[in-house]
Amino acid sequence: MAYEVTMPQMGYDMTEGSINRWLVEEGAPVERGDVIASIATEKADIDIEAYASGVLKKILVQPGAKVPVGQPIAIIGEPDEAIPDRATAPEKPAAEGAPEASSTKDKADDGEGDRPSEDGAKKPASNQIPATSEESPEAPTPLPEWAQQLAGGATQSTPDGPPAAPGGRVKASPLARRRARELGIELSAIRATGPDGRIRAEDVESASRGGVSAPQARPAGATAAIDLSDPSEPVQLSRMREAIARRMAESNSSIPHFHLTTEARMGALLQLRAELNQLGEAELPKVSVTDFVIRAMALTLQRHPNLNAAWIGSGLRRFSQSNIALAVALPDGLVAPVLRGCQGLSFSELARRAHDLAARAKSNRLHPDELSGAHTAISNLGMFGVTQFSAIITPGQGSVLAVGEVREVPVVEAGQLVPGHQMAMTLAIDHRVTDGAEGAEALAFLRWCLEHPTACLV
Amino acid sequence: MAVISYRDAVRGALRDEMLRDQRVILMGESITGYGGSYAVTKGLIDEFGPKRVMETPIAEAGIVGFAVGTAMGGLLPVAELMTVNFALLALDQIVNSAAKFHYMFGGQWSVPLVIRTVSGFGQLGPTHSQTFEGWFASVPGLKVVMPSTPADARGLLLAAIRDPDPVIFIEHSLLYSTKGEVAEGADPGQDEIPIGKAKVVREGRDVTLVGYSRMLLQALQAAEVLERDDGVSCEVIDLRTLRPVDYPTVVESVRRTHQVVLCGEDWRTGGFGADLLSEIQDRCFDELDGPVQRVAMRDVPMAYSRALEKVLVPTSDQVVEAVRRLN
Repeated sequence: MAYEVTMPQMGYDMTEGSINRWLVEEGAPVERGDVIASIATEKADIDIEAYASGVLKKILVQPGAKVPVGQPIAIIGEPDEAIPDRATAPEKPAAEGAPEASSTKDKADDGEGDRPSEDGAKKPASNQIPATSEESPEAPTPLPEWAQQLAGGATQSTPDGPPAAPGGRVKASPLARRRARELGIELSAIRATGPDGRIRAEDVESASRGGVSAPQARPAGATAAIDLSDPSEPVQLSRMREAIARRMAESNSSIPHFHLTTEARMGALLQLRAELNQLGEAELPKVSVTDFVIRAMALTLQRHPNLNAAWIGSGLRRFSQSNIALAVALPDGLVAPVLRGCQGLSFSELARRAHDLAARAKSNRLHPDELSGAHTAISNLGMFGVTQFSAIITPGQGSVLAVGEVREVPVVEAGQLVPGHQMAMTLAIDHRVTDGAEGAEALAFLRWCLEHPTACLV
Repeated sequence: MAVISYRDAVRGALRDEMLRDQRVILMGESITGYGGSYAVTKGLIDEFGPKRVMETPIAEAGIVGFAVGTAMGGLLPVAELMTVNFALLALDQIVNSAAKFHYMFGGQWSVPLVIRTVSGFGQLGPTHSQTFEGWFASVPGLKVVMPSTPADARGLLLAAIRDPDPVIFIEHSLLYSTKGEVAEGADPGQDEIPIGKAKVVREGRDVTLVGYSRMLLQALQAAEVLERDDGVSCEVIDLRTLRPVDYPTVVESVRRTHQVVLCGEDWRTGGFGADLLSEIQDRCFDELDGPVQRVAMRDVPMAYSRALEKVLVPTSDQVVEAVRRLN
């Protein structure tokens, strides 16, 4: 596993450091504890040691360049290990890492005498943000590529504030801004009566009474008041949590979901699975119920092409490929890697690919391409003892299948009460994509495939 | 209940607690003969004798160091520093001893010490007219109390003496003669006013005035004027304790009025109000319908001249102006 060497913090007040020289060349082997580079802080030159053994795969920061503490400066990995693309470019803008940028700055510093160094690293890139971004002082940091993919590619976040009126910013008190948001009134449409032309809450209220149109109505519940009498603290969002929060809120408020639930008899499938799992892993990996569900879904999407579709932008798109996302729980969220082209894959190939995706999802080794392009998704919470649930459709997809636990329950067969295995499934469908009857037919076919599992092997 | 002065309320609290608890001792400069620089302890020497009312040399670091030691040794010292200006000489004992020992010795020791001192002005010149409550309020390990009424002075002093931690208790020279209703008799659990609780002393709808000590009275006067002349309804909060600040009471009020004026007597730059403001904007950002206003001492050394002094010190007029700037 590749290991990033980062600029260390030597002393509590060190914010940046520069590389004096690398003592190991790219491609050379290193042992844990070897001195691999000499770095310079404001106070001293310090040797840094490798914390892992392997090969110095990549030097990310060249001698002379100054970088902030914590930024990766090199990668150590196995000799034959491929280094992911995203690791080869420093995440920080070049202005901080590139030698030419800091040398320019050094010249400027020389001109001003012996001031303590205050160049690039300490200055946020906000200097370069255009004036209009005053509306959103916390300039959105770009999501990493994988999170962009998860988020469906759309990363331009809309600032919470209103758009600036032509010729400048609308002056409004924080309370007025909040009330305008709640009432869905554009600030630029409100007459200001406060000092210095500031819109105050009262102005928003009177504009609202005056029947100003609400062109910018926002989803309700976007801003709940925090109850200060109830102790709480804000949680720093991971990129993943941020992406999930945004996409799921968007989906749940903009996609008209409807839900269809059914139960499949699983006896035949469990028996077939047990037989297949005697084959040995050379022929077939140990298969799971989920593998059958994936295959059944692939067959269903081909038989019901109206479901192999999604509402995207302002229109409906039908796809030829059946691309199915598989929700994989991670300690701090979830990812949904995508099985592409399922219609052309055999059961064993689908199972192999599904297992591989799930394993790599859990070890965080998915390629960004593997996180987008699905038209439907499968989420199985059966292993947690969930009998039945409904899931939220990911924007860009047309449906999602929520799979519950296979339960041993009494069932009636030919008038007799006998032990049986039942599994509930709930298919959520975007009503813009198709309707209840077609959804029901599709779900019935999916259920038939699971109840006649040899169909899945065809 | 009796109507007595702020000075008598402080003295009464000291006397009653000394009668109730043998461990309470007083120490300070001229606290026996003259009764301290503002005659607060007058007469106590006659009642309790020199073992419990101790005259000290003019050595503030020594007074506080001595008090810290007696507090760690099991007594409940109330040290008097003539004015808060002289507390500068004792800063090391206050900040590095009193405030730290409980922490540094892993809770084995506590320092149940009260430092009574006085802020204020009145032709006292540049070195005797300052007020430093914000400095003390910035120190973890200290509690800082500034009562504005005789009743609060009594109740908060009783709470301060019974508190297990060092309390900086800052009286105000221009409040000593103000009068108010005060309860009598010492009755633990009943008679104290809890440290860390602010009080809404006047309810209002339009703007919240936050003050303490003398500035609380200025804020109340301003509220009268604004109600009468402008029809503006002011809510007035007496902070009473500066560390820890009772933010829930302040925030609850701001969420109703949406406008705030902070009234302090220390310098504007780096003053205590700056810290209050920072916390209020953070906790109430979306509730604010105008910029938080501050009334504070002008950022210059105090003049000796009465005419110049009048220009420098914050007054109720400035509170009125601050509210008018908001509307």
